[in-house]
Amino acid sequence: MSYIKVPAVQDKLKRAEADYRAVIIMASTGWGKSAAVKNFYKYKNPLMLTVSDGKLSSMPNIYQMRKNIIIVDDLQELDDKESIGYIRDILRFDGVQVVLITRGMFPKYLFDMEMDLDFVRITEKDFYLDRAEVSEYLESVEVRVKDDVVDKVWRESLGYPRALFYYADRLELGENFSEDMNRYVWHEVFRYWDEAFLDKVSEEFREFVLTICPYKYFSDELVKVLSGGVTITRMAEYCRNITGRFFHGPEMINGEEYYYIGDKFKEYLLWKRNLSWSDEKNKENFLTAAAWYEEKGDTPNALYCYKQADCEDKIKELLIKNVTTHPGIGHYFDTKEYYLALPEDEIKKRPLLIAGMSMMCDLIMEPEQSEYWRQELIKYEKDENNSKELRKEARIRTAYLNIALPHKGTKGILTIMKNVFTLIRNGDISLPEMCATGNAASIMNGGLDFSEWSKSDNQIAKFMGRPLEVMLGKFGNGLVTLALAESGFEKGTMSPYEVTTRCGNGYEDALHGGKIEMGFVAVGIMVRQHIIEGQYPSAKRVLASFKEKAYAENATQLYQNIAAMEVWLSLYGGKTDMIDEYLSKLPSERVDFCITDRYRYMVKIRCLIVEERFYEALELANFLGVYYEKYERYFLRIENEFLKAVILYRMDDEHWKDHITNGLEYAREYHFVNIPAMEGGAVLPLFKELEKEDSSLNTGDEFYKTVISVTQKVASAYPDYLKYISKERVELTSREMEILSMLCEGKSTDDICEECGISYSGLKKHNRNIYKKLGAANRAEAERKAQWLGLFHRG
Amino acid sequence: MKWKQNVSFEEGDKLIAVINNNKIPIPESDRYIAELMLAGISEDDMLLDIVSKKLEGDELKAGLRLAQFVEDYSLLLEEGEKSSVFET
Repeated sequence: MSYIKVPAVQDKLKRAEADYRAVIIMASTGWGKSAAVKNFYKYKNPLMLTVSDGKLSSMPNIYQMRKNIIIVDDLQELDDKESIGYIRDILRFDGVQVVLITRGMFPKYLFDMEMDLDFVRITEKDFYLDRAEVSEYLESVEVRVKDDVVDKVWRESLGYPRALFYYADRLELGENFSEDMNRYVWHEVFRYWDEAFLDKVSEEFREFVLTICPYKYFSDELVKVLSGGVTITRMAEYCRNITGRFFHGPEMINGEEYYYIGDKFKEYLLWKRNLSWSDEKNKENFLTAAAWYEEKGDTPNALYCYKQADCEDKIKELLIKNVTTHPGIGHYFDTKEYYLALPEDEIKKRPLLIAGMSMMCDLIMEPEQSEYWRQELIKYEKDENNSKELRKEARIRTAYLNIALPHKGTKGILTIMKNVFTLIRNGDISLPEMCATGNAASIMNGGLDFSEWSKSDNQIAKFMGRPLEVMLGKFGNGLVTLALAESGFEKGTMSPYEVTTRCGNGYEDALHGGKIEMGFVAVGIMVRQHIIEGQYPSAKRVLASFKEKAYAENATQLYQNIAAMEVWLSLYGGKTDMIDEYLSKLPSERVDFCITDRYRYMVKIRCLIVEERFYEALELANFLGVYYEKYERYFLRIENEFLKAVILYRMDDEHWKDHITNGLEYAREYHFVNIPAMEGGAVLPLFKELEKEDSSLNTGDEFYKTVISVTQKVASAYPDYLKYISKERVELTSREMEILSMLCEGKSTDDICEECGISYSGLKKHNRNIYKKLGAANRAEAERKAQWLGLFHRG
Repeated sequence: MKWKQNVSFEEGDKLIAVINNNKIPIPESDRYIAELMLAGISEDDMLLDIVSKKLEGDELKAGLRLAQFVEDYSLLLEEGEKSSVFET
């Protein structure tokens, strides 16, 4: 392979030579380490030493040597004490520059010398070829291709010199860039890796990497189960010495440490495994992993492994088992491909599979399909050709779906519950576990929307309390107390003291003999209560404490919504540092939407508003709006209307008025004061503009007056909420701030000139500067920007 | 559970509730509960007791039945007292 000169590497070698510093080059195979060194020192007559069988090829007397450059290649193989001693000696010797080349990490036996010698370190990153270097190389070997081909080669080669070499090779022969070329190149690289790496490692390590390569993430426990006693620590240590960072991690996933292999290397290992392992060995490996995942309750990974092992029966069995858990815990969405892959006639043989399909379709927003499967379940129960036992199962599942299916909403649910209760009393059925919250920090806005019940909350609670506790079992502990606390909070009809007390009681009930999901409800209400009262540190403390508890109890089903709540809470503090990571982890709603993620997406809208990504925010709000309408999510519909109003207001689109009016109208029906109020300073300017057009708003209307009062309270407490935090903050002089305040107060030009003691032309100059700094075209825009940047609050 | 002050009734073959000049017919299935309240029985526990006797002594089913009634006629009913739910 002809040498690809890499400027970054050349520069570092030059620097090291000029300063007479030791060099250590650490990169895995194929990056061109040896070639780079050979090329740089080709006219300098260095002493080349290699390592074999753990020893240096020779150890000439340093004092008698006439060379002043010593290069040691394959340092990762060195383990002989005498050879190590020799390396240390030559490093300390004045007048000799030492260049060490290794596939491993910095050797431990040189740690003590690291600081003194101040090694020049050259790593894989330095060898990585950027686009310009790829283009330069292709030209140097007389491969003339168009820019778009250079782009593709650069992208597909991943900046890896050896891959680039093979691409150049094929292109030189006149081949067009294609998927076939990609495959060829990487298979050549894989064959090279075989020779240069995998064939040279220990049997144990080879077996280890082939054993764990199909798994996206692997823990120490999984490794032990699959490889009978091998530990990641031992393999990491081995790896460290011979090939640097082969696998990455640990990363914390659901409270446990996991490692992973990089994509390309994984691809190589899978290729190797397919070539070298028998089908039986492969299958056994997947079955072992599947059983382990299944025991851990990791249904998606268990299913993946069963699929790889071609175990259709186990897949069906696991999908059936999955249906026995409620959607908050069960894996419907992340196993949908397996449900959808089942033949219909297979599904129709098992009531649990039919029920699973119905629930899964509802979660991915296909209510018509969900209904189809629910009807199939009803048909199944009526079909006397089916066994009595399975028909009973169908009856149980139908009863469950009639209550729990999200698209059915809560209309008529009490009649359904009464009928189900009759069946329970008659001993005909026993209901599977049901959770009212759907893992949200809410009952009213949980698995179903119970906003309608808030209109007669006390009365309904009086009658429903006991039946609900019986039907829901442990999920009923604390439910009535919390439902009423939440209703009272949202309507503003319960004092903060009472809300907090009820939440405390509900929390205790939930956590002693109840379910942690109810605890989350209590926390959600308390957090919102604290926010309304301006008690931001208390809100954070409550959430942090619950998060600790949730993690201690491994309540993985709550992690995502807890994380979303953390981000939302941070927005009140004007902090935006969590936004990037949050947005990057959330899947696109257009690609992979599950209704159980609704809370996370509502927080996403707020993050997008902060980032001024208004079109995206509006698109998401519109998308969610369709779901809210279809599934009778009244609470979220109200929240969504206010957020849409804020977005459109900031886009200077007059339709904001329609949405804020709708929001108020819908909220008024339930007396939900706190939904708009929670948006504080983001929504306050809109109310003020509305009042300008309709001054009667703030006079006779008790509901509106309460909304304004609480919104103002929240806006004052959290001036940075949903404020765009510019990368370059707006810097106004004190005079400019003074004038801007007066502009926002609606003072006339004459009044401002008189109060400030400046001339008209002086004021014009200040205004020009203010508009420029705010990026505003005129006074109205400047006022608007000042308000939502939090520079000025009216009211 | 009480009717709102401004609710009146027209009795006859059908029982009709009137509020703000709107007439709301009460179906036969709900009539007995409405008439219990018209007869002055407003205590929730007493209503539960009577309705549960009608439902073969099942207090839980009675609770669901009355909750349904509340949901259906929320516009006509006074807001319940908190004390009726929470112990003071």
